[in-house]
Amino acid sequence: MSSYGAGGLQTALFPSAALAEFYRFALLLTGNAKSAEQVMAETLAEVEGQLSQFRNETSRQAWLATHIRERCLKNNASAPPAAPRLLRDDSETGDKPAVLKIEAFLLAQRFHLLPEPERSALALFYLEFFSVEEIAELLKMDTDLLSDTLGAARQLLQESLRGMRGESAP
Amino acid sequence: MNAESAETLLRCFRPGQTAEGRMQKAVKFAEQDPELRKKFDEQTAFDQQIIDVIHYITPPENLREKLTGLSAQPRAEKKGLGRQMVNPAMLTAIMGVICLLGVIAFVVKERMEKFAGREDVEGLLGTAAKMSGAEFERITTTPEQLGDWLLMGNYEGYESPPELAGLPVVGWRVFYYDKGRRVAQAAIDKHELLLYEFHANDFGVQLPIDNDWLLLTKDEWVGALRQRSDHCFLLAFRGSKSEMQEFLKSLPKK
Repeated sequence: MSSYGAGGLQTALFPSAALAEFYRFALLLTGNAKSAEQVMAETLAEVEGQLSQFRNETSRQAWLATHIRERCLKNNASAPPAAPRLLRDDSETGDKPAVLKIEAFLLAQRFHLLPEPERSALALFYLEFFSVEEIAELLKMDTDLLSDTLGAARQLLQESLRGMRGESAP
Repeated sequence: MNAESAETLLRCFRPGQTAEGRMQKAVKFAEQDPELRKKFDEQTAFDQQIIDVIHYITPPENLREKLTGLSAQPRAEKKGLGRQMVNPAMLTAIMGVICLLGVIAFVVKERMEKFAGREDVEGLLGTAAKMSGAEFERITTTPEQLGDWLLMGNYEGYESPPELAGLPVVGWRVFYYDKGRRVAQAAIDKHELLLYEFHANDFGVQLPIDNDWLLLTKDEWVGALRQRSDHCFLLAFRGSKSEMQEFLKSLPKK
C-alpha cells in the first residue's frame, strides 16, 4: 500500500473503466478536459481515507460522484461557462473519424452550458453508472422530479445542439 | 396507467435497457399510443446518439498516473497560507475584517475623545499661548510642596499629581478663567511644562476616574488631561501629541 502516491491509493480503488466514466462525468460538468482532470485529482485527494471505508462498490462510486459534482459546481461558479471551443486535439488517436472526437468535446461544452440540476441529472443518466433511483437519491429528488428534470434537460440540450449546427453552418 | 404516467416513466428509460415492471407497462402503453410512441422513439434515438458520442470521449491514456501526480499537488498547496491569502474571497474577507476593526477603533477613539467639558478645557489650554511668564510668582519647590502657596492664592484642595513628584517648580499662580472658575497653575522646569489644576465640577468635566491621560490640542499646544476624584490635572507644552506621549512615558508610573 505504501508504494501508492497520494492519489494512487484512491485511483487503485477503481477499475480503469470506472475512472473513465468519472472522467467523462467531470468533463460533462466542467466542459473542459483540463478542469476535469484537475477536479478529479482534487476530489480524490480530498476524500482520501474515506473511500476505502466503503465496502459496497456502488456506495463508493456514489460518494465519489457526489464529491466530483460538488467540486465541479464550485469550479463552475468561480469560472462561468465560456463560449465553446476545442480544448483537446485527439485527432491522432482512435480509429473513428477525428471529427467525431471533436464533436464529443463540443458536446461536453454544450453540456456544460446546461443549468443545474439538469446538467448533472442528464450526465449521470447517460453515463449509466447508477440506476434511476440512485441518481434521484444522489441529486436529492424523487423519481418523478428526476423524470421532469431529464425531460427538460433533453430539450435544452437539443436546442443547444441545434444552435451549434446553426453556428457552424456556412 | 395513462399517457401522462407512462411518459413520466419513459423519460427515465435508457436505450438498450430491458424494461421490467412498470417500465415494461409504460413501453407497452407507448406502443399502443402513436403520439407517445413517436416521442419515445425520438427520445431513445437522441439518447443513443448522445451516449455514443459521450462514450467516444476517451480519457488520457495515463489518467491514473496523472491523477496520482495532480492529487499530490493540491495537498501540498493547501498548506501554503500565502497562496490562500491571494484567493480573492480570502482577500475580500480580510479587507472586510480590517475595515470593521478600523470602524470600531474610530468609534472607540471618538467616544474616548469626546467628553463633557472638553471645549472649556481646550479654551483653558489656549490661554497658555497668551502668557509671557511674568504672570507667575517665582518659587523653587516641587509640585507636592505647592499646596500652601496655592491656598494663599485662594485655591483650595490642591492635590499633587503623583507622576510629577520631585520635578522642579519655578513659578506658580492662581487665576480665574471664564465665569470666575479658579485654576491653579505651575511652571515646571522640564520640557517647559505647565501644570494646570482645577475642580472638575467647575468645568463640568467627567472623565473616568484615574484613567489614562487623555490628549488634546489647541493651536500649537498639546495637553494631557486626567481626573482624580474632583481634581483635574492638565499638563501642557508646545508640541505634538506624539511628543506628549513620549513625555508621559518618561514619567514614573502613578
